[in-house]
Amino acid sequence: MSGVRVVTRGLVHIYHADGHDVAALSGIDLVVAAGERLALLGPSGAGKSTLLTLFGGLLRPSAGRILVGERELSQLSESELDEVRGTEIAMVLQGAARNLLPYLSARGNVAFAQGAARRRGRPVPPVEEVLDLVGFPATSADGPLDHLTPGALQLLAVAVAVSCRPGLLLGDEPTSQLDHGARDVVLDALAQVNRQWGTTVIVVTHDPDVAAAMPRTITIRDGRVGAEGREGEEFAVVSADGSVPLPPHALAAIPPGSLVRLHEEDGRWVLVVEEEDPHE
Amino acid sequence: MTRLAQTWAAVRYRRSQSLVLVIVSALVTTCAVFAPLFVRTLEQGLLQAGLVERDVADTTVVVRAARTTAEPDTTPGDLVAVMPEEATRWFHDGVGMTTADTRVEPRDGLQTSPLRLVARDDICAHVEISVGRCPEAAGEVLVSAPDATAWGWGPDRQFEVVDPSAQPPVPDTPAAPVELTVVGVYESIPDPDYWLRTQLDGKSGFPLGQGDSIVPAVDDFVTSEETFASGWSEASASLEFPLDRSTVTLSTLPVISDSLEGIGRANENVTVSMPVPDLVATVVAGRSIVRTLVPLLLAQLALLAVTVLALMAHAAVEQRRPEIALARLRGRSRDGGGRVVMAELSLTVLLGAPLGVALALVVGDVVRRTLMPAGVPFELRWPVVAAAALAVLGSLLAVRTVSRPVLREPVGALLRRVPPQASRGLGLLDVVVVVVAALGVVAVVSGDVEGPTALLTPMLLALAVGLLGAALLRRLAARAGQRALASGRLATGLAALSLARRPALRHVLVVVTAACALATFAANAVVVGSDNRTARAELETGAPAVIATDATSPAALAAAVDGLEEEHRDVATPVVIIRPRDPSAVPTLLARPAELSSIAYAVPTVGLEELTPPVAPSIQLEDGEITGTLTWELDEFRTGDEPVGKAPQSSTGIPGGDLSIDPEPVQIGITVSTPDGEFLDRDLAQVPQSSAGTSQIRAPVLCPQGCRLAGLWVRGTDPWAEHVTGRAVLSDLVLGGRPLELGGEDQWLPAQGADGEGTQELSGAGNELVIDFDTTGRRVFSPVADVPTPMPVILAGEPPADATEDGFTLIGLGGRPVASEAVATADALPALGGSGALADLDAQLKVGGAAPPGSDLQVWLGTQDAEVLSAVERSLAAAGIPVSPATTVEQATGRYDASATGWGLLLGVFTGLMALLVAALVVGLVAVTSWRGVARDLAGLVVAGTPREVLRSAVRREQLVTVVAGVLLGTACGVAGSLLALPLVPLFDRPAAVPAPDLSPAWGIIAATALVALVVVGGVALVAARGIMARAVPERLRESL
Repeated sequence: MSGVRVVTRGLVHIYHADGHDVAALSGIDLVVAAGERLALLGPSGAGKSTLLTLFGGLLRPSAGRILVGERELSQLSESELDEVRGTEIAMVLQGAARNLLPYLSARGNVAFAQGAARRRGRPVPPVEEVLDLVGFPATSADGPLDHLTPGALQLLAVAVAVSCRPGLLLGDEPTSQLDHGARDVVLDALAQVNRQWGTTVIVVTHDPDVAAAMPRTITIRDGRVGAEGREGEEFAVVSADGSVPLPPHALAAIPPGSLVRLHEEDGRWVLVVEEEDPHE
Repeated sequence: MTRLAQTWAAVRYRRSQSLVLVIVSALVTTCAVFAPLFVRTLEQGLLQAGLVERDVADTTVVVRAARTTAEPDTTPGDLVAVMPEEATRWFHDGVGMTTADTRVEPRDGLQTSPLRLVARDDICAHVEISVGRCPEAAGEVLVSAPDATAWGWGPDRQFEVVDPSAQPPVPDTPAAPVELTVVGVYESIPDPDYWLRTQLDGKSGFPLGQGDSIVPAVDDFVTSEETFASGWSEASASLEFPLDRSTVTLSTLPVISDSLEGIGRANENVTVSMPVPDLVATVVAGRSIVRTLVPLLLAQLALLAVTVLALMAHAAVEQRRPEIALARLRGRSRDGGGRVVMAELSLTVLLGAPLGVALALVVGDVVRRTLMPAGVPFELRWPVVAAAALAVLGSLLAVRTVSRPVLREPVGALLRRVPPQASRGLGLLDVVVVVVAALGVVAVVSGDVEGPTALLTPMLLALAVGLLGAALLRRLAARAGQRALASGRLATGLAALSLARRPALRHVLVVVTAACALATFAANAVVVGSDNRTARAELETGAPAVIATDATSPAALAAAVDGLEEEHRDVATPVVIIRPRDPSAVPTLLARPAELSSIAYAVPTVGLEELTPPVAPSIQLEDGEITGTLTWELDEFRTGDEPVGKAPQSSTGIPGGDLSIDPEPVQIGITVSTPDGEFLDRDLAQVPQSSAGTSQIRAPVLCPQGCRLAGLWVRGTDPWAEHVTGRAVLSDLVLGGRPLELGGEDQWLPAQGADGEGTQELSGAGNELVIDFDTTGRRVFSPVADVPTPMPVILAGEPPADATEDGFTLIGLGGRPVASEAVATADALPALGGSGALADLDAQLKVGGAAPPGSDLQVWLGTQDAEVLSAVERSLAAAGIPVSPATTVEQATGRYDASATGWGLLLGVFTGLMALLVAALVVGLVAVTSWRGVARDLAGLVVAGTPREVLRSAVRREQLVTVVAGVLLGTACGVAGSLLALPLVPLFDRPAAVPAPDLSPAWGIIAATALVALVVVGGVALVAARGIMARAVPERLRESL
């Protein structure tokens, strides 16, 4: 299985809670190429984790479409989603321990994660190959989990997630609570998975160093794609309705309600801020 | 790694929780398996106690036929055919016996004593013939060793006895005597299986009352069947078939009983005594009670255990939400994800099953060895296996059912770090339980549900109250917590908020409520049942100890009791129970009311003093002649001149003239009662029909043993005098050289006579008696006022059939009808139960008389001290009163305890203990399953600066509030459940109208149970609180695994 392409069109998700509705996503249009590594950024409550959860098929969107490979997730039944999860789509939950069964060894956890795929007759890589791919120390494969360092636990969480060689790997803060060294090891593991298997990798992170390690970043703001970073350069993204979210520093200079002029100049569009209301 | 290995790893990882689940599962299995085991054990116990352990005589079929003129030659062999063919396989071969009653003169010149001749199959093998040989020919006899010693009898001694059925050759001449020759001397060899109820000896030398004389008793003479070959047509033949105990099993019981159906009905002359069908019926009735009572008692415990298992399984599944989520996240379906967790929980249930079976077997064996009669076998039958399987299936189903909602949740919900809040109110299942409980209570109160089925109501009620209490606790705790925090009471606030937030603590409340309710109900049922059995035993026995005697003279018995040593006299009282032959007649209990009230049980307090009203002193007459002077004045009398009719026509045909007949005198007499209770009339004086006159009185008393003056009567003897009225004065009355004082004040009761039968009034003083009379010819009687007439009684039950406004008639000493009146009524009387009359013994002793046949002459004692009983028995025997070993109320209570209901209700002890154990387990399990999260929260508060002492106090309070609330609610529910359900639970195998069951709560045991629950469950709660607090360390915050 190589990486899968992920496409969203007008993706909207609304949470219903205690008598009022909260729009976590207000129309996300996004294309992630197969085999791409992407980081989702944004302030708390921006909708990053919601988007990741929708990618994982753990939620159904209130509106819009999600295509993972050729499958539109919103159209799949629960049993079809079960089949897709863990095989084509894998997820690393925030907090390494949440990804592991505490009473099994590392080898046992990877084997457990491969169980469903095996029963469906799907070929899975050997456990040792998976552990080796992420750089998990082989000597700790059969020991109890509470003897592992936080970094090793996170590596194991990644190994468990990719144990069925998925086309898409989703990670929710995969490097949180890790020191720099361990963080880098985990990022290397993600890169290795992407490099070796072509798995598309999408992670949510608050860590700018993690974002910098990803070739592409998407910043979610107020439920929309606010900006995009490629190879270290940041871009604003024009949304489907033509709106262009300004980065924060620009927004500070051009507050909401400001009047701007857009004109084409030498093949480039220039935005000019009007100092005064021309009708006054 | 195989799936089993994964599952085992999960079990071992949470070993404490797994262990508690195993134990709870074991408890469910124990309850299920113990039920059929206990039922079977009780059934075998009933069989042992009801049949197998009874005296052989109690389970023997006795076929008896008296020889008649139509069948003068009946022998035991003729009775073999009476026993049905299909019944013979259950009984041993019959033991034949022929007996005949006659009289024998122990020594020349002595009066004859009653004698029984006995011929019995194989008798010589069951006696030790110390001298001589076994009788073979007709007329040969063995005499008993005590008789041989007392009378000097030996081989070749000859007796002449009378065959009562023999016809004399010449009318009005004695029949030819039958010669009996002694060929040996015997001593009985005790062998109850052979002798059954026959006792040849033990009578030698005992004094027997025979009319006015006493004769010594003589033991039976053993003879051969040849003796009865001719004559003896009043003999009695019998054939006794002892039950073959080895054939008696629970399955053969009904067959044995059915095989005796109709036995003896074809022969009018045959009587059959067969207690076996009644005994079988008792065992069968007991089985029916056991089969209903035991499962329903255990069903409550099983319901509690299953509830706990379900709650614990639910909590365990909630705890495993992340694991289920992981399984779903890694591609497993809903069912596949559920199997991961269900495999672990199912394994713990399965591990608990063999443990539960083993525990049930151990407890069952302990019960069998300690409570059951010896000989009850240990049986492992298919219902036990089926029950174990059912328990496992039920437990698995319960676990599966409560797990299902969580297993069906979407992955997103399972992944939430904070699980969805449970409903603030009652869930659907809770509502169902509350509704069912309410319906159950209504049904019980309205009588729609009867019988032991009502036993489920207390548990349902407790569960409903617990669920409601938990819902209420959540709201109250939330408000109380916020108020407490706002007012700075940190420990209280934390505890209250924790109670509101953590469903596990509210589960503890539900379980503790239900467990305490069950423990309270069970403990109360045990004590109430025991108290009622004791009360019934006390009423039926009458007193703490009862010595039955073979005395026939109540006066002799009373004298023997009065002659006891002072220390024993205070605790003993003579009692005579007269049981008329007519079963519908009212039996009479004659006793000394004052002594009875301090010695006997269930003595009525109202009316007791009225049984012994003040009376005049008795007038005892010695043998001799009463002398005195009679002076009379008549107002109305027949002079003799008045013609009374016409003389008959003469033989010549001349009609006769007016016929005059001399007037007859008025007769004055006395009635006396002998010590034997015989009433005899004696003439005292005659009053001629003249206007006045004087004469001398010389009236023999004719009482060789002395007698009591019962009354005086006047009777006109002149049939032609309609009325004779006047006054008679009997003065200077002397008997035996001493003045005979008949004229005392209040010495006489009003004259007894119907309207128109005449009147008389007695007055006078000293040895002068004045009689003002009006006689019409009928006898008018004035009783002496030394015995209350009518006899005052306290009546229990319906009065006799002849009762009128003026009273009724009871059978008294001597078998005489005694006019009686009820001065009070009672629900029950000691030893008589709900039907009988209590009267003063001493008053009846004055009247005299022997106890009628079928009466019981007993000595009641106010103590069960063995030494005192033995001493009293010895004293009575020394006074010539034959006694039987005392029976005690403890023995009677023991018989009731060894019954289906007695043993069945004892199960309450097991139920109560297990319920408390379950409650303690739940408290422990909740702590074990939830300590990590709680400890982490506490650690956070510690890091935030909250003093540890405050947190320690908060944790203790939150644990104890649920326990204390649960104990209080549970105790109240247990009491309510007892009031509802206990009236519908059989307390006896055979109910009786009296004493009425006292079902009032046994507050002592209820309080004790609550206290034990508080100590045990509260203790576990405090230990749990301490353990959680010890683990609330800052490092806990960094815990990820």
